[in-house]
Amino acid sequence: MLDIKAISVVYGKNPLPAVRDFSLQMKPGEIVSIVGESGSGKTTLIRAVLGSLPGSGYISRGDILFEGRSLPGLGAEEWRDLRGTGISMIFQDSGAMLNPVRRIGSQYVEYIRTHQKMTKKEAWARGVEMLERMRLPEGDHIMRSYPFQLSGGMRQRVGIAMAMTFQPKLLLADEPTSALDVTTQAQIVRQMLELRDSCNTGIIVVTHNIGVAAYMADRIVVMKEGNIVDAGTREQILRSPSGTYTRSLLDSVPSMGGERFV
Amino acid sequence: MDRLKAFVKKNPAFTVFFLLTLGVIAVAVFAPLLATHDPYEAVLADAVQPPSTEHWFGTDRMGRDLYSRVIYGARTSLTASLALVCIIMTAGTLLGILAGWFGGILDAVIMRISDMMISFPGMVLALAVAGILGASMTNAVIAIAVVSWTKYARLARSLVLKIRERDYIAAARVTGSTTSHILWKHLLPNVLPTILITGATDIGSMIMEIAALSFLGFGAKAPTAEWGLMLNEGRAYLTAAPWLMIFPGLAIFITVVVFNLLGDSLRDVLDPRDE
Amino acid sequence: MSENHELILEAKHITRRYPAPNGRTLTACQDVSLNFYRGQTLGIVGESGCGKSTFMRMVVSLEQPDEGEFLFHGRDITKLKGEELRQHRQKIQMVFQDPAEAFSPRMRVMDIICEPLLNFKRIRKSEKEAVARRYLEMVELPGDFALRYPHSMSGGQRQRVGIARALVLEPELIVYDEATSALDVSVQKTIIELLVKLQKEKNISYGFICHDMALVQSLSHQVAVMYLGHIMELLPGDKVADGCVHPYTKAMAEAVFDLHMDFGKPIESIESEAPSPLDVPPGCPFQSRCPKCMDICRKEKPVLKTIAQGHQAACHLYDLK
Repeated sequence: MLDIKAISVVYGKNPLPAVRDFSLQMKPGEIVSIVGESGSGKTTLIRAVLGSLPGSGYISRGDILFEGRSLPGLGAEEWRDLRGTGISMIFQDSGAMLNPVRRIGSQYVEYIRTHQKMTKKEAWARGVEMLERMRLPEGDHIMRSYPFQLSGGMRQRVGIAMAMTFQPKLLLADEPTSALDVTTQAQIVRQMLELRDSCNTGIIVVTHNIGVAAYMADRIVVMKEGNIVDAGTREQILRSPSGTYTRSLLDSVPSMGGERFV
Repeated sequence: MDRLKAFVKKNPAFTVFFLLTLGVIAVAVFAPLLATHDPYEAVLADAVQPPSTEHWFGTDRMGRDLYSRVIYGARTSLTASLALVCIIMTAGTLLGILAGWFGGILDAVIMRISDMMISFPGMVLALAVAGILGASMTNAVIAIAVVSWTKYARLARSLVLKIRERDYIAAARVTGSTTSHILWKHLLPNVLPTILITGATDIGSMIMEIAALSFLGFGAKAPTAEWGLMLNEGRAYLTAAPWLMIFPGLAIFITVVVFNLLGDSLRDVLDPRDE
Repeated sequence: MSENHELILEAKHITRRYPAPNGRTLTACQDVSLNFYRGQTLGIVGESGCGKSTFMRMVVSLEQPDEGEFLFHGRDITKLKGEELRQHRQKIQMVFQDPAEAFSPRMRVMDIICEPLLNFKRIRKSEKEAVARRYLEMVELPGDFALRYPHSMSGGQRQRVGIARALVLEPELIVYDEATSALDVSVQKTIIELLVKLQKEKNISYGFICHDMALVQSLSHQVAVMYLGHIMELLPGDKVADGCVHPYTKAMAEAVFDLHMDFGKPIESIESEAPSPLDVPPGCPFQSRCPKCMDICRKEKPVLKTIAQGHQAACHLYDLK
């Protein structure tokens, strides 16, 4: 479904690429976690896939194929068709993507109608249905709310509901739970897993929370300073990591009843 | 020297406007050298002459050389407006910081006075104050200062309210800094850049306000060489001798633009995000 | 275990309320009693808005409680004012969450580290650089950093400078407010190791707030679990993983994503989210999300009861025992 072929991403005139020779193949319904610390290039990578590199960033080498189509070559019009229906993205705070002075309903309806011809009423019903699937009870009430009236966890669910409206084949999640409380984080993780089971959506999760990454992933890619330092199935990476960096990274994660310092 | 070069390279716009500002100030400082005539010497025989090689900007109705008067006018206008900006900036910032930091009754009193000032049209209030005090350059400065300090007080207060919640202020308190130390070492340095930028941009508008008061007869008194007053004197001859208004007007225009551009480019220099 | 250690600071029945719009009140801390012992760490864990930061801000006298008192070696510090309060501040220091926010911009590292000492005239200005170098080395940074500005340093390095600043006055208690949450995990681990080493060397008491339960239990002697301003459970750090009894503590522990967990097992999580602290229901604050909620929980607020040595819980389930 997705085939990233040895891409490198460069920002402006900086000779050092932010991502170097990154390759990844994904099958439908697969979940790949990309973990790494700040400056590892993981966010740059996911933005390159979505064609929304910030500022002066561009793909200097390699190619990204999504169902056989080359993504870097797409025009603005083709991207608009693809985003939302083929590839969707959710962010650390999806609420920040919503216009704070407009009700969620009107933004959701507008979003649906730009991708699919339907009446406002149908779009509204579709939105409510999606919200309720995301375990947001009283979808009607949410649609009539302003973003700031919702909690962080609820906004994140709205973001996921919107991203999943057209059942995209690929969902890109950039630190989807990092701004949330632990109990809410667990709920969101569980829901993303349910999405994969019900819609067969492939997910790329980028996160610094290695516990979340490990729990969700079929495969894990470990990045450091723009390079892949380790990649493999979850069991390979967790039980027998090949790189020393991976090992020290895994060792740093505090665990319940694990290493105690005092 | 190298640091100066690096600075110039990084802030070309600021350098240009700073040099222009220096030019304007130099005109004021070296007025006696630049002037071709005594600005106060009236030669009635030469009254209202158009610009010529003898009198570059022409002469006014008293036969005084207009070029020399415009040059000398820079002295009056610049000293007055610089003094004015210094007064309102210092007083306003001080009151604003006190109001923002201590809150309570002090805040209420300072801010209600400032509200009262804002509820009048500034110029009308300044006219009233100048009218009561009597027409003179000093009184014009006082009158405008009385109505203009509120802007700085509000700005400083809002900055203080934002900064006082920052962690580094909490950290300063936890580490046992005295209140005066916090105000002086932590608050002021972080309030000042914004205040200075506002001040630099304000010099231009203060020149205008002083000129306006003088134009209306509440500022400089004849025969002082002051641009606003000169405009007023030329008003009666607008059609017959337009140069009487054009050249002082041009002087005001150029000075105001130069100081405004300086203020704008100062914003880029002082922006802490660049560091 | 804590009984053998000298009691430094005792928080007794601390309550803090804030006025909210429409005449309502937000109770950030409700009847919180906790003890800090010499050389020991008290960890407070809870979700955002649970009142843990408010409590610690009162510990360092940045705010004052509406009710209750803090006894520092038996002396009520909530009554201190002016110079007396300033002198007392030497004993309790704090490290902030965001190392980029905690320093005044335009100050050099040595000015930052030595400011507390200069505030109390403990050193002369000429000694600044030497003192700063000594403390930088103590937090495992090169002494040359004394001349640098914090914005040219990494997050972990800045946080070490923050720790150095908290150490210079040789306080008896240091409060850490999510001090490692903004850092990468590998950096977090090295900072935690440093903190523990310093604590052992200097026998300082720590207060450590964090939302990461796995981290808190790894370095705390006692852990307090807070929810909507209330202490739900207080237990020894080594019992958190498998000895916690309160349904909320259990829910938090279940929600930790652990590398050693059974990935095949579906993640357990309580439903919904915490109610607004403005709408804390009567009875148990956790009733709306508790899987074991009973009738009594809606009527009567449970109080903390000792269920084992050093282990207290506020839950009606343990009334009967």
